[in-house]
Amino acid sequence: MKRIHISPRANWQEKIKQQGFVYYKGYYNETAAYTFSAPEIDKIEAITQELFSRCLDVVQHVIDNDLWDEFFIPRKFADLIKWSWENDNPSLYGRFDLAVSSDCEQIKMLEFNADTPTSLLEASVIQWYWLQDFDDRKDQFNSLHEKLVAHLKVCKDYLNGDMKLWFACVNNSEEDFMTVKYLQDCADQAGVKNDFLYINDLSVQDTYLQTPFFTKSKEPVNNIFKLYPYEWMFHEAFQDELIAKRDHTLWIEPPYKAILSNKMLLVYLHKLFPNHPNILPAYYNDSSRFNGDYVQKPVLGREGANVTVVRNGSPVERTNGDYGYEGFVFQEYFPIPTFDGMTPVLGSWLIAGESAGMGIKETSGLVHGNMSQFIPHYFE
Amino acid sequence: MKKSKQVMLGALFTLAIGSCGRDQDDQWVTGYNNQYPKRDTSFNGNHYRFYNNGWYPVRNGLICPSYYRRPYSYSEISSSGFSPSLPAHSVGGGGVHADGFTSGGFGSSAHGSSSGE
Repeated sequence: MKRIHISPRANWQEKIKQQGFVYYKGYYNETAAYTFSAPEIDKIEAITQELFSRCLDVVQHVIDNDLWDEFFIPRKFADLIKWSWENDNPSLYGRFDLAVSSDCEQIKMLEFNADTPTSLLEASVIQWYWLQDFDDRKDQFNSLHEKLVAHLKVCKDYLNGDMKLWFACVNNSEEDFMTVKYLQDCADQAGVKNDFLYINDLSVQDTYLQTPFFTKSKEPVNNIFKLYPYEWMFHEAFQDELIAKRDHTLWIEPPYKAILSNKMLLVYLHKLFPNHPNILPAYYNDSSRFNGDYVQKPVLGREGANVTVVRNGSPVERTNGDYGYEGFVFQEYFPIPTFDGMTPVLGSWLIAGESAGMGIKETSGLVHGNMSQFIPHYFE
Repeated sequence: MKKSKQVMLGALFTLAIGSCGRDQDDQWVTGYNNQYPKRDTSFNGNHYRFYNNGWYPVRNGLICPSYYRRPYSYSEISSSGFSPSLPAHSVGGGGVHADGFTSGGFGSSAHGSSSGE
């Protein structure tokens, strides 16, 4: 794994904006790229697949042992989660964040963004077009677009009612809007009927529980992809409607992602697979197992908020935020190598449960949050 | 090869790119959930709800943070004669409607911008 300096393409800003990357400012600049060998990429791909299998083992373990309290999931959602798991309700995607030694000999899972991952467009489209211009003979670990379209064709058979798939996100984020619109475009290319609405516009008909959700204009929403986390939905006004309408509105990602997107996943991965070479030791509310080198993460944190990195018993980096009410997960510190002073984290994507590509973000600090920068990659 | 053979973007996505940066519709939300309980107050006959470190006018049980550049401060809403500005279509955006439909039941936890990670 290497970091190389590159010359930005002429008019690169215009090119990426035309490809939908309208939120690139401060996040992407085309002055560097990461390069890999083919065996390194094969290893990342295989480990991503292996980690996903182990994560699914944790889901089964949580369900078998009713660990809802341990995962801070309200018990009333247990049946909904079990139902979505046992029915194998469709899922589009997920992204592991991996820490990698410079020789790729050590690859460690930092976390799994299983429910609402973003940075999809830049991984799937932007870096692909960049490589076409840079050197189209080189290869890239990125079949995201192909796999998304192919999987959405399969998903058609699982859709409810009118078989229209709605795509939803919040109304105040260009990044979320473009991510969801990209996925909607993939559905369109797959021949899936589709439409878009803001999550705030979802409606219910008060008198009849046995109906789907509706749009504001009273069109039924039989199937919906939402870029909005279950950990929030479980506490909002329509929380009970999720349960009451489970046979009438199909949600993608499925409710069992509430287990996988929870940092308690890290604790149970270590508990079930204590000697796994790609899983870091992690404990709930307990830093005493480490010799002063660990990372403290809120159980339900997002985008690197409320994270503290501790070295030799002293905090060396801390981020602010509003998370931590449910307590913290303490994960063993892994020394990620720096390249030109930058610390990379590999976002390794799954589409339909299959390892499908990679997007790299780097930061000058230790904690990757919403200030990290996206860097393209290739391998040969 | 591990890269997509072709990446095509459709007309649907191109239209979405064109719509970015335009003002979006005002969105009405409850502004509370189990984690951030409801906190309301009233002054001069106007009802307000605490959300995102400030106060927003309430209509039909909902607030519309996207309409305002910032929330009102407590000293603003409590000053005598103060009257808040409201979106032009303040009543139709969400809430409980006469025909028995309710909207705005999801989305109130998104205090920041992105809901992704």
